[in-house]
Amino acid sequence: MKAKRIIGGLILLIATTSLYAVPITGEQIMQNVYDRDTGNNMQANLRMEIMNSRGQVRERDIIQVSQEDQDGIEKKLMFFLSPADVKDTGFLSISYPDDRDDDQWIYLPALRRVKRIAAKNQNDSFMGSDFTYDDMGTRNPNKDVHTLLGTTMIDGQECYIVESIPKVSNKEFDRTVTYIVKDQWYGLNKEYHYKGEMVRELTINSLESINGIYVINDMVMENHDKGTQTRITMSDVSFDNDLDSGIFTDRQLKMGPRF
Amino acid sequence: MTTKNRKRTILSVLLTLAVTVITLPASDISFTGLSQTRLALAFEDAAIPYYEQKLDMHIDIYKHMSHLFIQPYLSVDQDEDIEFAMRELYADFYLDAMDIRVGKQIIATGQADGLYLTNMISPLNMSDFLLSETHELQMGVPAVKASYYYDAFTFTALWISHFVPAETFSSDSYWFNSPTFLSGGSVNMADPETPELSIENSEVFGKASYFGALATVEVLGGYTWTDTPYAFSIDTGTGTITTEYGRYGVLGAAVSAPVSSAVLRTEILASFDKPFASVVPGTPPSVSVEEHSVIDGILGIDIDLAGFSLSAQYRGTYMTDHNETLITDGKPAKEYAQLATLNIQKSFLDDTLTAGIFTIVEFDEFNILVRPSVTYIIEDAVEIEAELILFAGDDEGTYGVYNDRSVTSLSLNYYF
Repeated sequence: MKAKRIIGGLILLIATTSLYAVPITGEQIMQNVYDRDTGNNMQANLRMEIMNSRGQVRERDIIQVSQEDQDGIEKKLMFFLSPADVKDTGFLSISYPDDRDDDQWIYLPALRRVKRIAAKNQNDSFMGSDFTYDDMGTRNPNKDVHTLLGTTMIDGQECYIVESIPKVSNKEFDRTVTYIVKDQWYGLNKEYHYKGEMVRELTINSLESINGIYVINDMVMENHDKGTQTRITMSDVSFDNDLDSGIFTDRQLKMGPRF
Repeated sequence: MTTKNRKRTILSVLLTLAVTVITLPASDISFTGLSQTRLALAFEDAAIPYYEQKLDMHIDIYKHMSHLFIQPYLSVDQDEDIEFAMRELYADFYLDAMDIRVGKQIIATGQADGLYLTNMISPLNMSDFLLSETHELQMGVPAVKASYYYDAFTFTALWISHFVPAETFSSDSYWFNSPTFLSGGSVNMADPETPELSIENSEVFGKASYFGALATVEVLGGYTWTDTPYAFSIDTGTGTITTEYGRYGVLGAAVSAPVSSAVLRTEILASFDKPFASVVPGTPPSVSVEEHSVIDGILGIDIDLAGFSLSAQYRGTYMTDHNETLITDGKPAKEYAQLATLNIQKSFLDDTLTAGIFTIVEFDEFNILVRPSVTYIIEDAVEIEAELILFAGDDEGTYGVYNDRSVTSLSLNYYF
């Protein structure tokens, strides 16, 4: 009996040791990023500065509320605060963790109606910016094949370098490289490559911890192809707000950004 | 009222509004608007039949559970005629599961774009409808609207205290056409009398709607007035045709649902015992009123393809017990009528340039309206729009009648 216990203990020890010895994979890193705590819901003000190749800048101010439920379904409500021609225009979207298209509605104050809109191609530009709809959401790691390329130091932080190849090809990128802060599971930089060239690059300028949740509050997406760039800064960020259950509805779209 | 007095009145109202807005706490107020300069140039003779400068203001005043909305509107046209109107002026009250809106308001319903089927509660301002933006066509009505929310359902009751008729072309308008059923006759049309203000003459509507990921569904019913007048008798002595507005009931539904990456939309509206003029030509013609039910339906699709936003709609109309004497909007009424719309848009230069083309086709007397346009955003909230408004086809049709009146239009929009 004693010998059996010793053998059992050894097996457990070997198994445990082996477990610790297994290096983390690209898949696990991206799953950790996806599973990172982002609170039950989030509210924030976004300022989007879109700079064209001639250096002219257009600005958009947006208020956004988002919530993800236990099934991974994300609901997002956005209202334009400026410029004046789009003020109070509202968007409501529901994103699913599987391959289903997003459900999307728009409220145009001039028409006074909530209108269902055709699902955007995820690689279409978001509001004329250098971000795509895909960039603005949380991309499910199952959509790509991930490979850990190595580690590097960025601003004194050790980062994993993960290469992701989309399972379904698209014309915007055929490969991305993301720099993920070790044990924190947020990205500091992301490169989008197409046919061997880096076409876009996302750089994180600053982030902060709010209620223990890391929030990127200043980021820039550069489009090397077009010579344009878009900067998004976030302010008044709050998590786990006491949201009304009816906030993600047509009623709220018509009421505007008064929560 | 003389022009001088009218200008004084307008100025007084604007000053009062400005003082009211300025003296309220800034944090409770949102003040936005549009200044637009627009002109149209006729192809035929290079004349400028339309020039307008307008100021459209939106004033929102917010309190904890209520909201006041004021939308004054001021325009000056090529004849220096000044129009001042209150497009909307209402108060919202937000309760736990209910919203109440009281005052002059534009009621928008349905799922169709630019076609007014179930979206028929607010009358249309068609005095310049060929040049107006779609959202400017609907007029406010004095109403109390209560919406009760239960889960994904909304139940709305609407009471319109007094009837507001549609506005049509004035006889000196560039777009005016004499009613075709009067051709050859020595008769004239009298202006209709607006129904007097009474409970009995008010309008009522009820709507139930469902808002969900699978579909949006609206069911609407009501008892309303014809928005435009119809001839109901003739004074054979003077040759004057008298006109009036009449009552009828409606029941309709509108649905929109995603199918793959497209959105399908459909609407149906049944109008019960709607009054129509029946005119038998002669000298003088004989005029009477007949009631007929009308079924109207729309099927539409919206889809994004290769960066192009496409929206197409088909509309079919059927009138029961039709006969050849019936008249609607000054033209012979049809037993069956069909039309289609197509709207294509694409943005360029990081969404600063938008090119689009809107087309509406009537199939019965084949005629067409085509509106290609280009909008360029000079800087945030400042844009310039150029548009061609082209008519072609059978001159018996709604658009073909303007065959020789195609125009190009240019507008500068300054939002603030």
